[in-house]
Amino acid sequence: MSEIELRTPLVAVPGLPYRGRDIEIVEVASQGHVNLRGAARNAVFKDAVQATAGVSLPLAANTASGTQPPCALWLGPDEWLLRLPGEAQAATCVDALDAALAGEFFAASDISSAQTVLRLSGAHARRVLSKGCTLDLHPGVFGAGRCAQTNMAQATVILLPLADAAGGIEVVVRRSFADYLARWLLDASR
Amino acid sequence: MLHIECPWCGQRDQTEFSYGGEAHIVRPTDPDALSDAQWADYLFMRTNPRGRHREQWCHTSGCRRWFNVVRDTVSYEILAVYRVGETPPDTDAAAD
Repeated sequence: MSEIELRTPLVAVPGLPYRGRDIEIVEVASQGHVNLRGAARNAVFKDAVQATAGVSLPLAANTASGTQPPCALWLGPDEWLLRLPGEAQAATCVDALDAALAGEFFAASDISSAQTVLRLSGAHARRVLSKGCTLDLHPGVFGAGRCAQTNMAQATVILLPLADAAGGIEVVVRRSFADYLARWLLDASR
Repeated sequence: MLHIECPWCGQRDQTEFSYGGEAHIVRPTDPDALSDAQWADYLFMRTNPRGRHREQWCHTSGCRRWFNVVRDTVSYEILAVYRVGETPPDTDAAAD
């Protein structure tokens, strides 16, 4: 059997990683992403997620349990994105949740290969992102611990502010939009 | 551009939302018992008020939840936002 070569979604984008004046754009590839659906009021469900992924699900809208994997991002009143350090952990996590929650009403889907992450850091990171986004990205409003699903230059993305002093933000984007969005951000950074 | 208050995410731009037509259209419990005219009325006929209109919106680019909005079709003013299953707020005899 031939081996399939794993390539990151943005391997072919020229100019990435980008290091400009007060702006850095890098792809954070091969992380684990698990889409999780379930009832927050179901203690069995919440406890299993805590035991398996080591995160407590945030219940307030547009908040995240942390800024680095493992963490959980609020996507809806019954939907979260679990971010894990690697794709293998995502597969393990889904298997463990399926085993622990057999018979419960929930869904865990490994979407690691469907998404990738762009990390923008530096003093101009939020100014660049603001060119394509209508949300208020000021660190005082949109700081660490928050997250948001929105449009970035027409692409659907999830924004996750980082805890660093310069106010970096990670952009979770679907693989099919990643090439377009990366090129758009590179252009917007110049 | 409208600013719409998503019941979960708060105020966002209209470009993040999709419009879903008139709200509170109840599917008949026994479609086989209806005449063609009654079925067509359920499927196609909608009110088209000049004034307050209860309508469905979906926060497509955000939390992807459907919710209801009372909007004035003349001024485009959004008078109320409420979740699916909640009782429509009284906005001075909103048009049905």
